[in-house]
Amino acid sequence: MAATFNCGLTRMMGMSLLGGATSRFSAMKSSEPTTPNANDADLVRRLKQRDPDAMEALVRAHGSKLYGVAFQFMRNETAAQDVVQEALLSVWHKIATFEGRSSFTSWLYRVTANAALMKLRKEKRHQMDVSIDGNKDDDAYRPLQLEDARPLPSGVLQGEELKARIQSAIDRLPEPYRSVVLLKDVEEFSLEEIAELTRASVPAVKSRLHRARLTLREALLPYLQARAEKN
Amino acid sequence: MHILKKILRWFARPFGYHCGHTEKLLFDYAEGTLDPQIAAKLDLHLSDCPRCVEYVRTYRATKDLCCHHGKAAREMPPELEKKLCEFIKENMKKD
Repeated sequence: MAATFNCGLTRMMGMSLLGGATSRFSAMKSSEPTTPNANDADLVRRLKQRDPDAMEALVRAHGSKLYGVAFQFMRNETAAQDVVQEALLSVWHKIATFEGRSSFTSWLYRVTANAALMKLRKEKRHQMDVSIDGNKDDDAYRPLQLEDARPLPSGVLQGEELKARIQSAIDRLPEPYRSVVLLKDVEEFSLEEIAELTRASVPAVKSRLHRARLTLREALLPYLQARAEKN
Repeated sequence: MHILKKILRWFARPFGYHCGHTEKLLFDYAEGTLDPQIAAKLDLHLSDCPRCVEYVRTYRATKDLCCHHGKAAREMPPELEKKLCEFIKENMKKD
């Protein structure tokens, strides 16, 4: 519990992660009603032939989505841009490891998420005072303490203010809890996908996610109660 | 109905669940991945424990709020595509 986050995250960042994953990314699927599978197949073929023009085509086809993913983790435009660049470099250098067992877009997403997590680690943006080792995890189901646990006001918030408050509560979670919430509840990865991405066991991911949700619940409780009273 | 509930609770008592079970099983219950027989036992407890009902409700609501409002959607700045293409030229075309 008191072990540092760093060594686990180093494993988490292992580039073997980028090699032929079997999992798929649901949010990516849902946002791609016209997934150009043939185009993606052509892109992959050209990338494997080291055609740099294919990288530009990739940016045009997928850049916006990759940026969205990067921003989700970084919450900063410049950092998100850096992450996309890192992800593009990884794609260029690791495309040979893409075996087509997952969709190309899913693979791209994972590369980008991986680059974002790596950047977070480098920046030491968060206090990394918790273990990410899947086998030493997490005293069962004890809520975390948020650094600044300001709860939502006990009124019914709407729209952008509610969104901002929720995102702020998520952002105050320490790593790796924040990433797990983003991956599961926001980006809708499956537990198995998150376990693979973070190199943790599924029970460890479940435990982290549960603790993170309990903490968020505590922070959001006044709002949740007010909403229930209104309904 | 009330008497029937009491009778059921009495029979379930030695094997039934209490608030500690809600705590332990909450994650899988909220995810819908709990074994149906275990979920039924928990349902029985919930039918008679407003505190746990509220606990489950707010837990699920938290998850839903994160799902619906946690996404920091941000459009790619228009100039970024150009920058990325330049980045590609600098870093990949020279390979």
